Parts: sequence; structure tokens; C-alpha cells
Amino acid sequence: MTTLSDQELIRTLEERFEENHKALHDLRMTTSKLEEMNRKLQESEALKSHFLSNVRNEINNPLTAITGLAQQMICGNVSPAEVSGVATDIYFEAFNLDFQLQNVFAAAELEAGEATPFPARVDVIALVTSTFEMFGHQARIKQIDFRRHLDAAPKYFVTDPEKLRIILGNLLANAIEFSPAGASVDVRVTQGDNNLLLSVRNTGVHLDETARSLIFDRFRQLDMGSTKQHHGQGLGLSVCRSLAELLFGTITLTTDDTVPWCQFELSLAPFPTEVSDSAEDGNVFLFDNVEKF
Amino acid sequence: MGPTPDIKKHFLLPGAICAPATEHLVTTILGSCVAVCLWDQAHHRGGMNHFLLPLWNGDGLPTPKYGNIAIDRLLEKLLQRGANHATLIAKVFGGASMWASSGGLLAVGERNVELVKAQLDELRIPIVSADLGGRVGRKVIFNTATGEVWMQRHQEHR
Repeated sequence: MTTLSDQELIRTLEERFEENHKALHDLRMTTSKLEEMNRKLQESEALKSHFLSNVRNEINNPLTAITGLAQQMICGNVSPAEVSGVATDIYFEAFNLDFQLQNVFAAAELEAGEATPFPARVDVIALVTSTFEMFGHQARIKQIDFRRHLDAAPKYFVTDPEKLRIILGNLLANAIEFSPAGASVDVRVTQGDNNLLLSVRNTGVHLDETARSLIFDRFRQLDMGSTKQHHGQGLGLSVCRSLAELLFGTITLTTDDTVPWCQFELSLAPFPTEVSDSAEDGNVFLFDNVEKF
Repeated sequence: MGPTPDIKKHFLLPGAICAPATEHLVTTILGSCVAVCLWDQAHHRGGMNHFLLPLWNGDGLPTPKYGNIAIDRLLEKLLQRGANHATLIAKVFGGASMWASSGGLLAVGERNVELVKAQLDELRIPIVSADLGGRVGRKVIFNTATGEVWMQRHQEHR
């Protein structure tokens, strides 16, 4: 039998302590995750029925407005001077409805695993500007100081333009919807090392820790129930996060405990176009012999 | 030796599912991720997923990035395309431990492997072949019509 020196003995003991410590840590993590999961499961039934009744309002109301207004125009009840105003109302009701439905479709596609990125060389400034302008009207109605800062934006970036547009649209729509009247919303696009950084920051909103942990959950709005004040299904940020992952990116939320503001920052890595090439020839990786199964 | 070249190819990205109607060569590259190739022996069609984490934890959307979602979705798709649950077989790959130690006792790769075995067992789909665990990445090519899989191991560089 070999004898252990004191030092070896101490080292072995230390290793065992370390292992126990790790196991305890894992167990603690698992338990807290289970508790969290349990809470979410209990909530999910309630959220589902809430979602169904919410869909009825969110889809039915704009549709009723659109058909009603259009009917007025058909019947000739609208004087030529009012046509433009009524058409504007129809447009924005339809725009809002389309926006809600896009989120529902995007979520369905993501959950089915059918969302495929189609990368292209995207004109960043043009995409951000056109999306920004779509929300200008809503910002004006709420008297929000709606600003964009695109001086440091890269000219082109390879990513999926439609998915980027949905993410940006959601961040802007949220910032406008959830800011109090008179707040400011700032959109900023810059370039990190290789990444595209796009941030939407709004003032006047305070998010505490509970709010921060819930905000990316699906079907979740912080203010829920029959007296909720805000539009939407509570899908936007969960869709944004999953879309960002699909585009090799992340979304992070920054808040301040003292001053009421919050900022969502999207960081997108350039699209690894060589991924599909490496599948063909294996140049990127050095492989052993092929095995067949 | 590799698969015949003149068949339609698809590169499967992490978190995606591919269950095409026609014969395809589906390729993917795995580290700690796991890919399940399901193939119907009777109808000669199949599909593959590629998941990153074992279980959806209720954050964000339940997408096929998570094993428990990805396996169910792949099965659903194949059944929709006329596959028969009883004649399905599975070939599973991946789940490597890419880093020597990552804090906890169980690495993501090992947890992915545990999940895939448990879930396929529960679904009563036999795993006819597998190459799981270890320390190196893998490249997998799956022929959805013949059910054949070619796998190359990434060379260890330590």
C-alpha cells in the first residue's frame, strides 16, 4: 500500500471539498430553476386564456374600425375635405393590425423551427430610417421627442433585413407605447468590433427587478388583465429575442434604479456566410476519416 | 468515401429543423449541441434537428433551440408528411464537452445527451446508432431518403 504524504492528502481533501462544493452549487441552481419553472407553468394556463381573449380585442377592434370607416366613405358620408383624414385613420388601424399579426406569425414560425434567415447586404441607414419613419406618426400623437442618431452607423451590414426590421419595429413600438407622453425615444446605430449595435432608449419608464426578469417572457405584459392600458399580445420582446438569436445576436436590457429610463440594445454578429461553404468542402475544419452510420 | 454529390443539399443551422419532402443531404456541425436524425424505415423519409440546450426554461419562445421542443417538432413534421411512428428509427450525434471544466459537474453536452436518450425512449423510438459525448466536434451528413449518415470527427487540437 502506498502512503500519501501530508501534502498529497491535503490536496486530495481540497479536491473533494471542491467537488462537493460544485455539486452543492449545481443542486442549488437546479432547485432555483425548478422553482422558477414551476411558477411559470402555473402562470401559463392563465396567460393562454388571457391571450385568447386579448386576441379578440386586438384583432377585432381595428378590423371593425377599418370596415366602419371604409363603409362611411363608400356611402358618401365623408366630404372631400375629410377624405384624407379618414384614410389616415384607416391606414394606421391597418398598420397596427398588420404589425400585431406579423408578431404572431413570427412567433409561430420561430416555435415551429421554420424561421430561416435569408442574409443579404443590408443598407443599414435606409432600413433604420424607413422603419423609424413608420412610427413617426404614433410618436407625434403622444408628443414624444423621437430622435435617431445614425452618424456612426455602418453603411452596409450582412444580415436578414426582414427579421432586423421586425426587431427594430418592436423595439420602437414598445418605446413609444410604454413611454409617458412627452418622453423621449432615441434610436442609435453604431458599429462594435465586428458587430452592428442598435439601441433604443426611452425615458420616463422605471423597470424594477421583477419587471426586468419577466419582460422577455411570451404573452407577458407588465400591466395585464381587463384594465390593461397598452396594446399588443405581449409577444414583441420574446419574438425579438428569438429572432436576434437566429441572426447570431443578443438583446440586452439596461436600466437605472434612480433615473427612470431603459434601453434595449441589439448586438448582431456579421452573418457567417462561410458556414454554408464549410458544409460543402470541410475546409474550415480538419476532419478525420469519415464514418458511416 | 462520402455521399453521392448530385442530391439537393441543405445546411442545418443551430436551432433549426429540416424535414424535406424529397431526398436531401442535410449537413450540420455539432459541438455540445445534439442532432437527432429520425428516419422512417417503411416510407424512406426522414428529418434532422439540431438543438443547443436540453430543456426550454420558460424564457422567450419555446423554439427548437431546446431539445424537448426540437424532438417533438421534428416528430410532428415527419408524421404530417406521412411517416409512421412505429417504423421510425433514430440516429443521434453530438453532445461533446468542448471545454475541460465549465463550472458545474455536468456540461451542457452531457445534459443534451441525457435528454435525447430519455426523450426518444419515452417516445419509443429506438436509437439504432449514435456517436455521443467525447471532447471533439462533429460534422454530420444525413441522407433523408436512404437514412444513411456520414460523420466526421473534428481533429483534437490539444
